[in-house]
Amino acid sequence: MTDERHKGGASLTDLRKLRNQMPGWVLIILALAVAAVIVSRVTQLIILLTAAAVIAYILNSVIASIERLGIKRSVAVILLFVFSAAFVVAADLIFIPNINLDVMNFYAKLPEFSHQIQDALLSIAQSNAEKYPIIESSIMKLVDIVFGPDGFLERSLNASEIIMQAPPLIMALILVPFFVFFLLKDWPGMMKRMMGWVPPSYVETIISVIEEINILVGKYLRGLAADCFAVGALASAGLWLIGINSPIALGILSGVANIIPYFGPVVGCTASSLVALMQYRSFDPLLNVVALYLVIKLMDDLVIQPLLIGKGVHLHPMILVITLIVGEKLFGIMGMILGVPVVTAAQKTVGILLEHHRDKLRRESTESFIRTRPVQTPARPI
Amino acid sequence: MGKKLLRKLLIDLVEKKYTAGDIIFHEGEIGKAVYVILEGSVKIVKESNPENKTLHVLGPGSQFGELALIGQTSRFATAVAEQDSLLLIMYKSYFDDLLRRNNAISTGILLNLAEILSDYIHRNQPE
Repeated sequence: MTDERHKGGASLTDLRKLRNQMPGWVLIILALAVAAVIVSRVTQLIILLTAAAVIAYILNSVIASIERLGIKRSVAVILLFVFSAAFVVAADLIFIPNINLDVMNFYAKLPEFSHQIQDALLSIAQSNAEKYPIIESSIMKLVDIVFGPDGFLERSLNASEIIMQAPPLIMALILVPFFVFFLLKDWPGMMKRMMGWVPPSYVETIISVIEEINILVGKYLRGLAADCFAVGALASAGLWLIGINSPIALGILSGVANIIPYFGPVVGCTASSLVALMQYRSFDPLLNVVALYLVIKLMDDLVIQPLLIGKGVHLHPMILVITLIVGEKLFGIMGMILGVPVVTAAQKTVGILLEHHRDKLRRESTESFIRTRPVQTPARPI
Repeated sequence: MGKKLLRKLLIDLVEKKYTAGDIIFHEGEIGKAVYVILEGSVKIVKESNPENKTLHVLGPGSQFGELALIGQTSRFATAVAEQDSLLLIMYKSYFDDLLRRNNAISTGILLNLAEILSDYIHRNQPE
């Protein structure tokens, strides 16, 4: 066998000897450290790959349905992409011009809206200055954070900041469909290769993990879609009843924001409160809006979610909040959205692996007992 | 198993290659999957029997492992790949769904099981 030399003079044989001498746990720690360094350098790429993997996972069932009609997988993937592209073009020609007009009108009127809100807040602060100075100082702080020279609104409207976000967005729009196409096309091959690495004694456990996660995530996504629709419909109806403008648009926003636990309802309530403030220039309707969203939140927690999502995908509230915080720190909004299904799937995986381990121990102790039990010799006839 | 059903299973399920001598599952394990043989052969062995009796040798097109899933018990025997084999692995929820939706398959599987159990009882009856 030729002794291949690497840079630095170490041969493959030397490297193999070193690998064989090292304890297994040292190799694992080294591999994890190298992976962590690589991940920290290419975080953007990891995020895009994760997004592509999630999209491919969701679309895989659509591709499987097309395949069952007798169409080859690669053709099914191409068909899906062609239909998606046709849909995007149709939407661009039919819906987007109207939405563009609304968005441009909104941005044109935004300075006027923000002045109106700012004036409303300042007048409320002034009227409370003597009686409730703490309310006045809190409102002034809020006005500064949102409307100040370096405030949230100013930074959002800053054109240069928006333009600077464009290159990563363009890269995402090109790379994500590219990754999704090949992930979908090669999905069965990848699964087969992955199963090839699994030792025979772990096959059923790994299959259990994959299938249980599929069932859990499918149930969660379907339940979540129905839950968001229900919350959006309730918000629209409630806002219309209490006389707030744009109830349907606000209802849609509340429904979509409901994807993120805890924070979603806050986003919906805040948007509706701002509209109420602009409409009535008073805090009184805000009480109705907040009360409405509290009632919706209670109904969601006590009735809608248990019915639609069920107990199987629920996390303990403490774990849920930690998941949202860690998800946001690592992957932003996407981390908050994906955090719950990821952690629930991880919980299920650990449960299945522990069950496998317990079953293995039980079987080994039974086999050991059978091997070592004394052989019963028949009594000799007298 | 019909061609249409086999094509559907090939789309929905995972395949795995086993080399000769690989143990697919052990007697006494909790069963979570049914296997369909695409290539090769698998022997079903009763390990707890002192003579290590081979109960069956199954070839392409056969399925095995359904007894533990139907009865929700542990594996009745050990399955060993007699030669290099390619198996389709069907998780229990998929198997339950298949039995519910397809009467022909559920009848076929139950008849097959009854035949295996009857054969086992006859072979092990005291003389």
